[in-house]
Amino acid sequence: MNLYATIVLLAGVALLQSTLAPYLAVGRVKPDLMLVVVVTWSVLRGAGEGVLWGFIGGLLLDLLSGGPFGVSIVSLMLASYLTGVGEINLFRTNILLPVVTVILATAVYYLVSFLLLQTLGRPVTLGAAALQISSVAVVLNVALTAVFYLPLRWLSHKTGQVEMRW
Amino acid sequence: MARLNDRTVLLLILVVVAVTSFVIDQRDRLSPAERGAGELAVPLERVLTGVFGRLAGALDAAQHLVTLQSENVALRAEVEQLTVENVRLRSLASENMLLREQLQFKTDHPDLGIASADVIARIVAQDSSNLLNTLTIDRGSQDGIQRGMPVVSPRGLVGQITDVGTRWSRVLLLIDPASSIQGITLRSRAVGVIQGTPAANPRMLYVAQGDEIEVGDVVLTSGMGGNFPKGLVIGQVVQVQQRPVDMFKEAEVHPTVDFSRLEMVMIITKFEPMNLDAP
Repeated sequence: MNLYATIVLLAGVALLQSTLAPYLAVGRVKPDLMLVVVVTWSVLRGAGEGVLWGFIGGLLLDLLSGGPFGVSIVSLMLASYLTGVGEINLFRTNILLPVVTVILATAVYYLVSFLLLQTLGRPVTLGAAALQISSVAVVLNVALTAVFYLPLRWLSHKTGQVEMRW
Repeated sequence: MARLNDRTVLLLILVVVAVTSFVIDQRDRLSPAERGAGELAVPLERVLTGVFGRLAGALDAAQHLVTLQSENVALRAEVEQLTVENVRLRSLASENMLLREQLQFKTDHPDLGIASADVIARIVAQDSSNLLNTLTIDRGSQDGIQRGMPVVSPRGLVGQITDVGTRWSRVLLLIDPASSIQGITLRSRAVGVIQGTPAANPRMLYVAQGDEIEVGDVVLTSGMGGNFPKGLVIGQVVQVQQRPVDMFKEAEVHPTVDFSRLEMVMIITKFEPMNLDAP
């Protein structure tokens, strides 16, 4: 998929993350739209494109966030990389695959984010509160995967299984 | 195997770029890029938040419509029309009430410098991360907003300005773990530090064992530390943890502000915080 189209698409997702996601929140926990999109794409197209989407998506989230710059970039890249590599030999059109993958990716994403924020001097509460946030986020992200999977599969089909062109 | 190696190389390159970004961020070199992104994003976020807010209102109205299905079919069209009109009017009434509350707050706190309506700001976005509790508002340096200024709503303290763009600012909420506010109970004058907690109520820490604190106590800003004016309502104590072996007591404080329903806030412009680097 064309790089510029990817940036525009992910910029739209970043805006939805900060404006639409709060309306979908359960308690104070919002779904991670960008994570779901990036990981689903990683499942559909493999780790190569997934990592690049993770980088662009993370960059956009970091620019609009009040946290330390780079946390979303690294968290999303690692989540998409691990899930993309793990699923490379599996059947990619099954809806259950991205669902399971998003569960694992959410765990990786939150673990890496917690560690990075703590390392970079931004206080976060670990333990029960962290587990509570991650658990609710997993449920919300899985629900969103069901919504995003078919449009992204269609997009993947339309843009073809080719390497991303710069 | 060769493909996996290619991916590993790609991952390493991108991680290096990301780590470089941490270093640049620590040296505050990214501020222009972040400010630029804010200037571009805030107008779009304001529109999108408005649209989604109205959609949420319309969905609420739709839920009410379900209960009307058993009524006379001939009246349904008229009911729907009235409901749509009602939603619009309720939205206006709600906004009117919010503005009245803001006006009342200004009247009640004439010393805080909330003298003109331009310090009332709309919330246009929330932080993308569940681990960070910040808001973006549609007022910035051109409105006289500066880093460190306290942010309030008619219900009480909201947080503090941490980043300022020309037409936007970022607010660190008091529920964020990075937020530390000196608090005091109204009844017993017990002092402590209000520390944010994700997905739960903030905690009042370092309350001396000898100080009296009970469930139901109202907690205010103490003014100590110089980051917030004295006397702003933070919340109410809902639980106290006290063990004889501990040096301090702890209390759970339920904020008076409902952060999930905030639409507008006020910025106290006349107050000058003493420590601009905190939080």
